[in-house]
Amino acid sequence: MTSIDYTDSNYSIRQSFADGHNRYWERLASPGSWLTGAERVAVAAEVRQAKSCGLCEQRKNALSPYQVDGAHDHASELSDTIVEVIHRIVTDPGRLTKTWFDGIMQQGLSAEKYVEVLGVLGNVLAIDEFCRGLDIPLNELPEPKAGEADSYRPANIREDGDGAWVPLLPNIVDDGPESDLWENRTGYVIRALSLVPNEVRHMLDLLEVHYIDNKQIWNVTGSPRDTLTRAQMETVAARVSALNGCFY
Amino acid sequence: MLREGIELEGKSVNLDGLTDPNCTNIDGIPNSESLLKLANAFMGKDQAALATTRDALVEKMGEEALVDAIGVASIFQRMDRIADATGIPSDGPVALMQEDLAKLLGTDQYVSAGNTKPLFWIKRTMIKLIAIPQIKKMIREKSGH
Repeated sequence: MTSIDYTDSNYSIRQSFADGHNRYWERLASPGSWLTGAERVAVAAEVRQAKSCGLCEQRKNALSPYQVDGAHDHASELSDTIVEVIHRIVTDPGRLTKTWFDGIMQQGLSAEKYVEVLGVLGNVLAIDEFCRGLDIPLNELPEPKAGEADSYRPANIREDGDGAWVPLLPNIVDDGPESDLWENRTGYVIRALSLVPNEVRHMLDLLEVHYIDNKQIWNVTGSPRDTLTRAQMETVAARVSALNGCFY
Repeated sequence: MLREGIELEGKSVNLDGLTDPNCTNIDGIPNSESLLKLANAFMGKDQAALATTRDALVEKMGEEALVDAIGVASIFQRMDRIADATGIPSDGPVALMQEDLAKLLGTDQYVSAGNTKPLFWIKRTMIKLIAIPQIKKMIREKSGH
């Protein structure tokens, strides 16, 4: 695999984007906690496939996505359940419901795998969308690395989800192996992937590259760069979230 | 975050149109028109329209601002999906701080708004009296005000 390099793009792209994307591609190819490297890269391929899936297109255009039955256009050997998870989250996130999530769990997918799929999906989508937004060809997916998932599960998980659909860590984690994830207390959106702590670490790394260091999130007047003010950054974020139908 | 930042800077900005795709300008936020048009085009399927808005933004704000704006837009494609796919509620104090804005902007009608359950009046009162002042103090301190 050639490393990600944006120096030939049409725009002047700071090196930290390529560095961050390369770090993530390395993590993408490596075994995770609940997925092998091959499965993680397969999730990435399926994220790309979802955008041209006929069933997803029909569902997106339907009054309710549940009115349309059929099979997704696969790009991988992942299970039908994982393919449904990836395609629905990529193409129609604003209409996900607890009933849909419960149906996925009833099909036998573990919450741990679900969270890791979501973590991979999100990071690959962010990097691909960055490229699409700047008219850069998508980066070649990495070759998976051999090895097994480590099946790591934090000890102090709140199994009830504390109001979320998935189990997650408490908002304060003062000690133990997860104490590096955030300082003091944090919000749900950072805790959301904490059933698989490495997915939080990967998420925060890319968050800093694209947006802001999570430690600075409450500095609401400061901006990490002089290109955009914080208000300008939040304006873009708010419009994107509105068009995704995201309340959070 | 946006409103808190604006208020801390002693400004007042009408955010009415922030979530309305037909609104392409927020008075008081410099270059909001270029940024909102870019965000709209980024979220659409018309690549030619996206190219046009990119060019317009580069002309107004420069290439590096364009790259960072696309960086923010692309990372929120991820953050929105993480929030929606895990069914997380809004954090209590933040939800209360945004309650009026959510109603004004209509975001309380989104499907994902249903993940945040109404609070009993006792908890609402405690959050308003204790948690929100603490958060506002923390925001002021972290923001150097």
